[in-house]
Amino acid sequence: MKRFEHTSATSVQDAVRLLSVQNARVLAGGTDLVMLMKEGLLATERVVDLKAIPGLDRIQQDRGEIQVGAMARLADVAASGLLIEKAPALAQAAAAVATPQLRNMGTLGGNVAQKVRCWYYRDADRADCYKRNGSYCYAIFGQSDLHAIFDGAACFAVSPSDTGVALTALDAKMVIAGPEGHRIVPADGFFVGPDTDYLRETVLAQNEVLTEVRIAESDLATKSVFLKAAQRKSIDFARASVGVAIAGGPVVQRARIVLGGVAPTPHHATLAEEYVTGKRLDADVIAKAAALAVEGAKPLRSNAYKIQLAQGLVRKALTRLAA
Amino acid sequence: MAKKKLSEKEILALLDDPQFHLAVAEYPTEHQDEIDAIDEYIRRVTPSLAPWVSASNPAETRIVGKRVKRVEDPVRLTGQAMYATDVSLPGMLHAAILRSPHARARIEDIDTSAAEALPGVRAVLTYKNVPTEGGAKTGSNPDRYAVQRDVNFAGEEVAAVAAEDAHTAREALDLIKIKWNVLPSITDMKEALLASAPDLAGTRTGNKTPASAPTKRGDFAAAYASAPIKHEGTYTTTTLQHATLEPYATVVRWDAPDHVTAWASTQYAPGIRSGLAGYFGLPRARVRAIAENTGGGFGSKTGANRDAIIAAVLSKMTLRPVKVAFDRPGNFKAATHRFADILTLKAGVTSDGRLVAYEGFNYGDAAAYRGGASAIVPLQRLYRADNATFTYQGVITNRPPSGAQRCVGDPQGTWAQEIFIDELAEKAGMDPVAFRLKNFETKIDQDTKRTWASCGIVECVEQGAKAIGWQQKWHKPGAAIRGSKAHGIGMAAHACAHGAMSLPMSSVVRIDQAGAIDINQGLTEIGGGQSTTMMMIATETVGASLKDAYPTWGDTGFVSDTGGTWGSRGTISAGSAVRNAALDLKAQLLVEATKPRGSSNKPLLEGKPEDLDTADGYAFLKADPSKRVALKDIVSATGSPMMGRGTHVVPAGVAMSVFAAGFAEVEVDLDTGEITLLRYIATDDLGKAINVLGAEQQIEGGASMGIGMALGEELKFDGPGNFPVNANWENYAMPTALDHPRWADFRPILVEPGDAIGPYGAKGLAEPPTAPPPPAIANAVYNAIGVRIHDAPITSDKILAGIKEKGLRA
Amino acid sequence: MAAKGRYSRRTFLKGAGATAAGTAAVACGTTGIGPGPVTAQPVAVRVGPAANAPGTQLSRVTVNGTLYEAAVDARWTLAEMLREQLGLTGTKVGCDRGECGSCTVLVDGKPVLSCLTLATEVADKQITTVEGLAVGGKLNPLQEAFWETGAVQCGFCTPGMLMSATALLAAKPKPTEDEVRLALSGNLCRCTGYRKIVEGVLVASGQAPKA
Repeated sequence: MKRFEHTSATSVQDAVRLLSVQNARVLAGGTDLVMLMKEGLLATERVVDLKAIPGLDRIQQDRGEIQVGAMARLADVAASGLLIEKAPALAQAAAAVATPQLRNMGTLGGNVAQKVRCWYYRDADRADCYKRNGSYCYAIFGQSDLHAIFDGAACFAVSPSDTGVALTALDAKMVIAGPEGHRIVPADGFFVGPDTDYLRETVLAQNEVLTEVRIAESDLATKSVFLKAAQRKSIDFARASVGVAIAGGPVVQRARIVLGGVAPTPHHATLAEEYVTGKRLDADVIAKAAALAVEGAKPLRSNAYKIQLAQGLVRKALTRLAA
Repeated sequence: MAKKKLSEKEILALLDDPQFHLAVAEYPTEHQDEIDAIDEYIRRVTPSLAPWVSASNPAETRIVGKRVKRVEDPVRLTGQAMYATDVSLPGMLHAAILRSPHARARIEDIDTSAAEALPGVRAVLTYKNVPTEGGAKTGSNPDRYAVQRDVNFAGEEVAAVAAEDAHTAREALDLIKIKWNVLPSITDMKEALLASAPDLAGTRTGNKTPASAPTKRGDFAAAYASAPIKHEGTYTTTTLQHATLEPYATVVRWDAPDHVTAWASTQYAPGIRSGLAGYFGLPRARVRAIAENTGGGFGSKTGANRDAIIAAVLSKMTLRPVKVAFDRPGNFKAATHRFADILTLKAGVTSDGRLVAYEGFNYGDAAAYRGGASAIVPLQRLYRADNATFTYQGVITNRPPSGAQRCVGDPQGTWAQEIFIDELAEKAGMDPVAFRLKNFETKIDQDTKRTWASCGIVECVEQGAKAIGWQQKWHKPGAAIRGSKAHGIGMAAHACAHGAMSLPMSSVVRIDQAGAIDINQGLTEIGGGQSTTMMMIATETVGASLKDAYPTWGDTGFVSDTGGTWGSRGTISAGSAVRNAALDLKAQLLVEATKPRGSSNKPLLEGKPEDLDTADGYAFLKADPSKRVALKDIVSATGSPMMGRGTHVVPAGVAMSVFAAGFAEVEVDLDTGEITLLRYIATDDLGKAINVLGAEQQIEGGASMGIGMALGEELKFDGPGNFPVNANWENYAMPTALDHPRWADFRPILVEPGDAIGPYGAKGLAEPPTAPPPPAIANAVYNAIGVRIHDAPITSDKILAGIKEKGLRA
Repeated sequence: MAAKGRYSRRTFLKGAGATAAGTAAVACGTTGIGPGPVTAQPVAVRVGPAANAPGTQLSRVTVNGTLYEAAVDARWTLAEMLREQLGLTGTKVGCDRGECGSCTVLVDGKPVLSCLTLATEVADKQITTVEGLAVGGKLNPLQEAFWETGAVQCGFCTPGMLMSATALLAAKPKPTEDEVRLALSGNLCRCTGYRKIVEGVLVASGQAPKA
């Protein structure tokens, strides 16, 4: 690890000010940043610790909105009675992340803003990878088990965030503080794919801080579910995941079907969403929707299984919501 | 076959060679002639016990066979236990290692000037300054130095830095510049065997290791041709890492020009001693190796690995203590590995379900440094087949070093055999349990014709079948699907050569005037509770209490060499020596108790030594146990501590084999291909448990490692680059607490038929439970969804493909 | 020395008494399982290079009830500070990358990974390590239960397991087996298959695993 300075912000404005120097990085739970620093994957001259900022970990209900502070620990998000009742997909996604210790450390903001877990990017010896400002993607000819089946372009790393999938399905709003004040970005527009910029994963600028996510209280958010498939029942990032939210019933009025672990960003299965809208979720509709959810997938050498896996997860999630 | 004749000089040389002992422990059948010659020699030179000392196993025991809390544990529970990674010495330097990013390459040039100039750096080691004279090699094939110029696998050590702190050492690595000449490499055995493949090691053998003669009996071809039922299949396993929680780590202090002390994470402290002595041309007596606690071994820490060698070279260069601890990716890349294999089986069965012809052809990954071995032992031993041919061929690749991992080649063989046998049973129209029971060979080693000292395989299978409810639960493949869940059960049986006795075996048991008993035994304690086991054997045999005894372990300054903690040999090998030493001590105590002494010229107990026995710290008259004297009073009467010594050899004409079985119950999710292991029953023929607690621990731990091999462990290599992509626990799927069945559904069952030659009837047991889980789970998956998986591990991508092919889901 | 049945209730109460002697223990409850006593006290130990050495920052942290004022290299993780600076090597480092749980310690009562926590991040926090569990020179009931049930083999994962289990039992004195398995699911073990560790935690809570 290279030498750096540890600073602690007392307010969001203070954090933004501290971030104004080059290579200053936000330290939330530290579970991703500290590892990136150890591996030398992210030049860091200053860390700006957000833990001392009061109120940034609040989970509350306010004027028809559920507000979750970016510094809320994943363990607290998973255990929040409010979220379990009003936005279960988010609580379920937080509970599905990593391990108990990492959920005690990791924050919601950190989980959505983390760097990709591609095993080539994370291998210190592969400095010519696109994500490291190189010009090669090892996954194309190498081991692509964990890589994208949708929307890959140059880089095929997938978005690793479980909560990002849930937030996208819940139509969440992301509140971002920067030198010019606040801006609000929909979850859908928060994540950045390689077709836009393969060096970043989100719209967050280096001197910006994600402060809060907001979810509108709604039938859609209440009737939501998150499912994840991985090799082990702990530790693992998703091989595929799905966040589904449905408004209405028995006839579907509005649907959100979002796939995780299969694309560089949480992937909206728009064909499936459109197909189920206006229909009752019977077995045939569910099977068709699941098939539509993976239409257009372009697997690499060793990740075609993800098509079937994502399809299975959509089927399972819709079946659960239909019950 | 004519028996090999060995001269006394050759025998002494073999006895002195730790590599030989390791080879014998892991592959005894390949060294039977040497073993016999050595046993005969030792029998000739060993003084025998007094004829009235009974060495037979008593019907009742006071300590052996009970559940005993382990003496090793309290220090590990308080955090005070010292492991090699915890050792910190005054002035100690920290080392960091630079590893090759390429699988096969030569360093054209290396520039370390910037690294050397970094403040805090004390030494930089590369091929340019690595000692190469004398015996300065690691003893592998081809031989290698502490760091390499020519690398043969990705992750191989090419440079090392010693600095005042670990951060500086790691920082210095970034400043080393290397000009590489990258050469073509291969990590796939099938590719290495192609005629077009590059000659990876300059052997001009088509990347094959020297062939060994096939094991043959009867006439396979003829028997196969006439068999009414025929079957053939190919089964593969992959490269696995031991993933010990503590990585490779050694601290070396070069005390003086000819004196070295090493604190090592090892399964064999005397092996660190001989390894360093050999590398530097020092007399063995000038090297001391210490291993108080070792954070797991499983076959990966059998001697002086590169951590120890690099630490020693850097310490010699700087005359400062140096700590080398592999980082986790480094350990995944460069520790030894369980080797991948390809095994093709062919068999003929009679119409009433009897195996008559059996053939196996096995390719094993000898990898970068000619490690690994065949997977055919379970094929030779478990089922009777009068006509059989088994062939092994090692293949050179650029995978990281192959070595021993828990049960060495046998889980690979059992993976193939037990899926194959399941398929055979189906072809013969028989229940898989009944088919196995009908075909087990329970009496002899079919190739050497030696009689097994014991065999509990039938009991293993019968008890396991009962525990899992085989009769009620086994069904036609795919016949228990409810909604998106399919349910199935499966089993596997296993036999192997592990858990046999092997040299060296020697021990000293002392008692002092206060009755304190020291058990001098050299097994290095790696987690199996071997020290407690030795205490139990010694105190049971002497007739003392556990509270009065303490074992020594893991410091070559104090202990005799009882060989390494590997090959499931500890309890029976060291245990036999300890038992003999304790018997010798007991005999001396009884002689002293009956000697007339003092002015009255009266003995402590009237009678002859053979009229006495001992128990719970007393010697007493068998005819009248109320006439007794404390053991410590006998010692006091003699005026000096007393000492029994023991060695042991394997009796001629018999052979030991261990047996195990596993029963798995799974649920397969048809949407996601995920497998949930609902139940696992492990039955293990261990002869006799010395410590019931320790026996259960070994069975549970062995089964757990097998569960990992079944459900996802696999070191994956990048296609063109041939470097491992998942050299960490994030992506190498070692199972967690949630991946195992619940407490009541994960059961070890001890099968205890006794054994004619093990101490108190014990056989080794640490390894065999590792082998059955993968095929048992594969067979359960077949039972659930009717899909056969022949290539380990059984991952969801393969299950999903099978589900699709079967049309179980769209 | 053969095992005598399972842990008795009486032993637990005894353990609880020992812990209750301290104040503000994070996790006594009725089980007696928790970090040792924690009392407010002046700085007891000052460690580290001069606080103005390049790259160092001052951190005041309470470890196992003792307040340390440590000048730490800003690059140091909590694991490095505990092991290298305070000499508390009971906290193990199995991977140094957040995967294995060997380095688990309690920060304000919650199990976290000390290998991914910067030493400077825990200023003014209460840290409990495995060395803080045994009180008055005796194993606490959780440690006793681990010993009794054979939850320890090589022992390298044991400190982390104990810390995860300590936090669980503080939050939930009578957990179900599934809750125990979940609480331990961030701690890898290669020796045991976890069975006897799960049993050890249940026994420590005064329960036997369901047969």
